[in-house]
Amino acid sequence: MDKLFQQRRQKYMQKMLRYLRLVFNDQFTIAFVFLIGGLGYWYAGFLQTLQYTWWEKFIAMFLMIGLLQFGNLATLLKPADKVFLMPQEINMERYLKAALRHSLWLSLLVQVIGIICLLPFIEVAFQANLIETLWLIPTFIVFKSLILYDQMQSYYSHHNLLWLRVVLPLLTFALFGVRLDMAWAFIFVLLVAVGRLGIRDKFWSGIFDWNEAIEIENSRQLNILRFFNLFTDVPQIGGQTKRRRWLNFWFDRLPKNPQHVYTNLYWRGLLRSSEYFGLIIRLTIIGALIAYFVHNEIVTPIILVLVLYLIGIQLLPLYHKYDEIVFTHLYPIDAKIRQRNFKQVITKVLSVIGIILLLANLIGSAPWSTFFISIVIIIVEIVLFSYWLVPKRIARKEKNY
Amino acid sequence: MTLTINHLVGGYSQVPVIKDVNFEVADQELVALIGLNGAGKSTTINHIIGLLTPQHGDVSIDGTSLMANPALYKQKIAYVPEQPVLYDELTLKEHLELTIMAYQLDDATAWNRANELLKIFRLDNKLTWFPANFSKGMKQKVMLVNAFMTNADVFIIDEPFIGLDPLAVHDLLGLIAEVKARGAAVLMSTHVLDTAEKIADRFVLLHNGEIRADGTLAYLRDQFPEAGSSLNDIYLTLAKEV
Repeated sequence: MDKLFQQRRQKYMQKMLRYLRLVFNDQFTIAFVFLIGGLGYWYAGFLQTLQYTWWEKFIAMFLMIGLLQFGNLATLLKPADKVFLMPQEINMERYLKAALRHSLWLSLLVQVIGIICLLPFIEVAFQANLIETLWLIPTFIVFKSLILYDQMQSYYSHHNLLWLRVVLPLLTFALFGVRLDMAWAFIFVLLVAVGRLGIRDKFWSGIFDWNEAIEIENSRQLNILRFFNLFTDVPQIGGQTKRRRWLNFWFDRLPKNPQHVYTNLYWRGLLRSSEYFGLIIRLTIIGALIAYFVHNEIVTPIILVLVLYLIGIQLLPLYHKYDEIVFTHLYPIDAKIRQRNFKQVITKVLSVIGIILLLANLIGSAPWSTFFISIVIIIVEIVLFSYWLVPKRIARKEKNY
Repeated sequence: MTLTINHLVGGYSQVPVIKDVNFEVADQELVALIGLNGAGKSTTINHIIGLLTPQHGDVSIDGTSLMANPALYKQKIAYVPEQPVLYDELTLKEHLELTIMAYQLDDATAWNRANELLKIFRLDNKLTWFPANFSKGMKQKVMLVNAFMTNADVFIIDEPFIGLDPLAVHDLLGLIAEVKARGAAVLMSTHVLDTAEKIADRFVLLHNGEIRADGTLAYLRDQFPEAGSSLNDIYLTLAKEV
């Protein structure tokens, strides 16, 4: 069983690496560096102006509990396992322990990085000094290990995970909040962990819940793929179709003549598929938040341009989305019209997003200079993108067919 | 309107799947394209609808060649694929609107026609549905409505009978008779030989990418007197022979 898990892990890691390579392509790496830089810049500025108020404690607690939810037990179980591994149920304990070990390192890494990022804020919010807050690092390590262990056991015992995931952290951080020594929080969690391990034997005797374990693993992987799908095409994520009746006013307004066949098709494809619509919404929100918080004359326009570029690049596959459907080739319509329709759709979508970003910038009371530089640069970008890059990309793709 | 397939050689790669295929579908004629799996039926159809580029030869409708004038040629054909394909993000109504736009049909007449067809196939109360809600048979019917609402001169129908309920098959045969009567040419590929035997005017028997026989049932019986009288018998004999 150990070996089985190792094999699966290897396959799984290869798959994840492949996606990571796709996600971190050249443009994205640049954009990512800027995004991180922008966020870091904002956070540093924010910390400097930060004053102690009583409600910051609660935000800090909320953030810490949120952080604890990151990272799950990766069992790598597959639907067919309940048939093929059923006779091996007695050995599932070993399989799960291998899975636990595998899940721990990445989860713990995320926890440590996360908590280190939060430390300066916690220092202010809880009015603690650095040494005291440092106790949080081992606390989080034990906490996360405990949660993962608990999750593994729950496949046998069906107990509610929320006790350890939410209630206990709430209790711990509340104790922490009323100014018990920070070290006590750690000792408290350690005691709970030892107690939890002490009663473990009772649980192993249960029956392994294949259906639940497989379902949870499935949705876990789906979430990861969905995340990758933000940046690249993931075949398993087809996306569903939503009617979005409130957009009908727009679909009805589209010109209905042979010169605009694809305008109709692309607008609906764009706004009704969860894939493209979700992508636009998520990246626009991120962009708008940055535009709201960061007001630098140079950094802000660069970030806005990158956000728009990222969205635009992700929309390009829409052009070929319907190639599989024979009618796309059968319509007696010139390919040039299709390209023209597509360019118009892209221009309009990017313009709307651009306006939203600029508005966010304005509402965040950025200086006028930043605002105007952003306007000019965004207009230039949209024109260049739609009328230069789009035709170039389409031509390149078509040459490869 | 006559569909002419002229010395067609083609396939998906350098190795041709169909080798020098010649046949015609005249107006007011229903020709059944018959052959085993892999005989080259779908490849032939893909060439006719212009999804593949021929290595040799040409396809034309009344002199309008696919290679020379694809836009005009495509305006003349309507196609019903074997596997129904629909746009996930478009409702049934929007699919029909798209067809009207793409074929530049007159809105009012096309909708009259569409409503008739929708009623025939019992889809008239499903205009706002998305493809995800349709069963396979319903999707096939959507494809049929889409094809038959056009004024195409040539209809290419790929295996229409499998998956349709008996009533829909009956209605489809009625529609084919109707478009034939108004002068259209129909090419249909199928495995359902007894139905084909009853309705088709002529048969093109394809084997290993070549035409083994082309003619009316009487002609085929004449050519292969020892094979038996039904299309089924004749085809089985032919297929085993080679």
